[in-house]
Amino acid sequence: MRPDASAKLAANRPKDGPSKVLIGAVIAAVAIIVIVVVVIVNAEQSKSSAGGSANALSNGGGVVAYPGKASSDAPTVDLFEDFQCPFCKHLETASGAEFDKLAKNGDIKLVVHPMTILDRPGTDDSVRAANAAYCADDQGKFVDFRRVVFANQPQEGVGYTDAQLKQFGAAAGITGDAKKTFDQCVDAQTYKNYVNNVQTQAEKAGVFSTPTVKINGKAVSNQTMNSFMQDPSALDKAVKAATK
Amino acid sequence: MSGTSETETMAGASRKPLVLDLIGLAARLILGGVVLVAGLLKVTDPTAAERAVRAYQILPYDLAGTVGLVLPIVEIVAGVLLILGLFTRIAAVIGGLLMIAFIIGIASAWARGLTIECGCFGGGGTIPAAETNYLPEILRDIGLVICAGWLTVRPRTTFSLDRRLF
Repeated sequence: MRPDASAKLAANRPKDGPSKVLIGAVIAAVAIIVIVVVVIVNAEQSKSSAGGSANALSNGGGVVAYPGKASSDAPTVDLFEDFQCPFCKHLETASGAEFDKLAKNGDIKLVVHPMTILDRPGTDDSVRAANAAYCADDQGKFVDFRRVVFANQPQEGVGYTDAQLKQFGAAAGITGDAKKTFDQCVDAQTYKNYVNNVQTQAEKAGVFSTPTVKINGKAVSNQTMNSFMQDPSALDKAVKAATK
Repeated sequence: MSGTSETETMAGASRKPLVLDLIGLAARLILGGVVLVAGLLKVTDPTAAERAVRAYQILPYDLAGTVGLVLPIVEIVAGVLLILGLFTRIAAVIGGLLMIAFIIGIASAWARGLTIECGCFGGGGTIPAAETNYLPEILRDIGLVICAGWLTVRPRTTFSLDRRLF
């Protein structure tokens, strides 16, 4: 009798498993759809040409501190900072008064760019703090407001509540009806789009960390930045050196 | 089941293919695990991922943003496929090309004197010069390229869906 070959035949028959092409096509299609959706959603979100506060430059250009003071030939000093960034506080503590003095005297045109680098997913403390700074700018208190924020800066990552931001407004000298307008502006996040615009423009200008200081469009070296954090007179020297 | 026929053929052959399959399994899990984790950590923070790519200052602004958005998704897909052992060769090629691109990017940032974090596992952006970590980052990626190379040449591995399904 011949041995039964059916078992052997069954083992050698081509397997009718799932089609490799089909599975591959499904995986590729799902991946491509996800990618397209993510890119489109993101493009929609970043579309905004929102205007800023009273002394804000158009197209996310930041806020001019002490508007109208700078002499016509004064160099532009751009200060990029994040209200949550500890080193920005160091800079403000060490040289903030010097920045203010030079700007007030008209020796420099000081433009401040509040950035939102330190916001992590689900947090928007830098966005809300920057928004509040623009709200303060509408009341003529931008410079005072940012000084108060840095003076009260918590440990990195703790962030700011809206109630705190409103208190900072009061501490910056915003009172009466102006304070009401300021509080509404903080609650409504009136300048949220402008905040994002400033962040985008700063990145386009190659600023990926805070604090960054640019004199006439050129970022100062790390060494110079360190000197600002130790010696207030370093700013004037750097400005003179850059504009010689 | 395919498992039975395979053990039958292997019983007669040398043990070497089994060892090579196990090396392949290790390569698959290392490369797939790293790539999957890297993708998952980045996909939760697309803004940071965009910024990390922009900080390399290689691609134009908008393209860099798109790469930052797409990269984590590609990494997750390739990582999952590698861990499952499904389309191992294609996934390994994708993983390997990504690693080569990362090595070029990091080396270029290093050579140009940028002080950035690679942003490989989220984060990224400019950091103090003393905190840059370029050499270990490049060496790690070279190790992963070797894993990818092995799997591209020899995609047969233990415990893979490729073997189970096709």
